[in-house]
Amino acid sequence: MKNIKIFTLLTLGFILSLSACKKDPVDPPTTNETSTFSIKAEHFWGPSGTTTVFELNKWLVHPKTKDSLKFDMFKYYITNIQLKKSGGSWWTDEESYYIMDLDKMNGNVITINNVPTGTYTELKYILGVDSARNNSGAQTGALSATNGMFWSWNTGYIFVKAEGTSPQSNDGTFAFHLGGFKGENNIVTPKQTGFNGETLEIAVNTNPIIHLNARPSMLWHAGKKVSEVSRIMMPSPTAKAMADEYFGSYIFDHIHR
Amino acid sequence: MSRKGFVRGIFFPLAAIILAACGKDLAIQELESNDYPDYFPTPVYQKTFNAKEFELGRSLFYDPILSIDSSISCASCHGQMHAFADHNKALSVGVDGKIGRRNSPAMFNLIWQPHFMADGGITHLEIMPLAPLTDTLEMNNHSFAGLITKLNHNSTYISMFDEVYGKEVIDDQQLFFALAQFMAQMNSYQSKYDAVRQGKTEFTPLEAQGYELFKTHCNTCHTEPLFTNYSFQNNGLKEKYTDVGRFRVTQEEQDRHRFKVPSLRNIHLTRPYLHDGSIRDLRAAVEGYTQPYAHSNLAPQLKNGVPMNPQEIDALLQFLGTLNDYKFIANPKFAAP
Repeated sequence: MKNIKIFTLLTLGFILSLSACKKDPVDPPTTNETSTFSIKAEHFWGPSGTTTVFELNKWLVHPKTKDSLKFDMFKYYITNIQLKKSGGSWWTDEESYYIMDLDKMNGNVITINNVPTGTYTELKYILGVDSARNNSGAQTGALSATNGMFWSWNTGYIFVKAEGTSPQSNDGTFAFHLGGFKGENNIVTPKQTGFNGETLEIAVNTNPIIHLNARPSMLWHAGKKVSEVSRIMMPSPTAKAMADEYFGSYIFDHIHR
Repeated sequence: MSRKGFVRGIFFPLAAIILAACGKDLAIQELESNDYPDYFPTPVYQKTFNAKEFELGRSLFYDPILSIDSSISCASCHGQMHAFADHNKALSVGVDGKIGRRNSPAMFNLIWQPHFMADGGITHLEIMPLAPLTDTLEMNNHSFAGLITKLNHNSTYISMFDEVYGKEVIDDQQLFFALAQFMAQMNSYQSKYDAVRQGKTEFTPLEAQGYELFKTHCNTCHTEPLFTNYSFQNNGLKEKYTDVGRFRVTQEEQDRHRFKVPSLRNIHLTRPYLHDGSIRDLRAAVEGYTQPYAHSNLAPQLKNGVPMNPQEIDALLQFLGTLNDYKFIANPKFAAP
C-alpha cells in the first residue's frame, strides 16, 4: 500500500515536472540549428561625435567639468538580451547576465550562444540587473558575489563600477558604484534598438558582432564634478542622474558580419 | 491534514521532485523534521531540509577557515549558549583584534526575518553572510573570490561540497546555500511560553502578571509569537546616538537612529543590549523605558515612558524569562561538529 502511494506520488511528480520544464515555443524555428553572436561595446570619451577612445590607465580631461580622470576600473552589467525575429516574435537568451570589464582582454565583448539560426531585426537588453535577481539570494556566474559587483551591506547589485585617480578629488581617488533596483533611485534601464536597416543573420559557423557605442564621459554631464562628489556607494539621486545620462548614450553603430 | 501539513507533506516533496527533474542539484534526503508550532506564521524563507547540506553548513559555521587568517569562525561571535549572540560582549572582535560597530545579534527564527542587520540593509538570508565574511572589522575577506579559492584548495571541503552539490568546483552560491541550510534550521519555539501556549504547563502568578504587562506595554513592537514585528524604531534608550541606524540604508530623515526591533525570545541569554551593547542588563533596559524621552522620531508608544513600578518590572522580567529556549541552546544538532 505504501509503495503504491509512493509510486503515485512519483508519477504525479514526474508528470508535473514535464509540464513545469516545458517552454511554450514562440515562432518555432524550422530547424534546431543554433549559433552564436557577440555584442561589442566601443567606449568613447566626449559628447556624441567625439572619437576619443575611452581606455583604462590613460589621463582623460572631461570636456564639461575639466576634471582630469584616470580610470583603473570600469565594469558594468548588460543583461536580459533578446532578439526580434524577422517574423516579429522575440527570442530570449536564457540566464542572460554578462559583465563588460574593460580591465580584461576583450572585456568589452560578450558572446551569446545557442541562438536559433535565422534573421533578426532588433535587439533588446538591460543595462543593470533586473529587480528580481537583485533579491533572489545566492547566484552564480556573472551574478556571483565574487565578481565584486554586489553590495554586502545593502542588498543589490552594483550595475556600474568606475574607479580611478583624479587630482581634483579631495583624496586623489574616485569610486562610483552605481546601482538601484527600486523606488525613485531605480536605474534598471531597458534598451531597445533596430539595426538601421541591416539585419543580424545567425548562421552556423559564423559569429556576427553587434557594435554598440557608449560614452562613459556622459556620467559627468548631468552629475557633479569630482571635487564635489568623488564617491558613490549606494543608490541615490546623484547616482541616478549619472546613470541616466550614461545609459542614455548607448546607441547601435553597425553589425560586423 | 492541516494546511501546513499539506504544504509540508505534499507540496514540498512535489516541488522538490519538479526542481530535481529540471536539473537542480539538491538531492532530497528527508523532509525537515523540525516542526514549528502552528501559531507561527509562514516563513518568508523556505529551504527543503537536506541532512548532508546541513552538516556542511554546520561545519562551515564553526570553521575559522572562513576568516582571512583562519582565526575566527561565525561561532566566535555567535555562541549557542547565548542563542547565537556574542559571549556577553558589547561589540565583537574581528580578525587582528578589530572591534566591530554593532552588537552581534542573536541568531534564531531567521526564516521569518524579512531583513537582517540592525539597519535591515540585507534582505535575503542566503546572502546575509557576505557582510561578516567581507567586513574589514569582522572576517576581513577583502577579496571574496579569494575565500572561494581557499575553500577550493581544501581537500575536506572539496569532497564535502562535491557530495552535496556534485560540481567539480566550489562556488559562492554553494557556500551560501550550505550556510542558509544550517541557519534555516536554527529555530527557537520550545520555551516555557510555548509550553504554556500549547497547554502543557502554566505560568506562575508572577509570570502571568508579567505577561499581562507585556501585552499592554510591549506587544505592539515585540509582537507575539516571534516577539518582534521587524519594524525599525527609535526606542529612546540612548540620549545620544553616533550610529545613524536605518538612515544608512534609506537616507530618509525619519529613519535616523532607528534600529530593527529585536525578538524578545531568549532575551535573558543575550546581554548586553541595544544595537551597540551599551546597556548591561535587562532590568536596566526595561527601566529605561519607564522614562519619557524627547527624540523627535521616538516610537510613539514610548513618548510618555511606560509607567511601571519596581514590582511590575520584576513581573515583566519573570515573564521574559519564560522566553528562554533551553532546548534550543542545548540542542546538539546546532553544536560544534
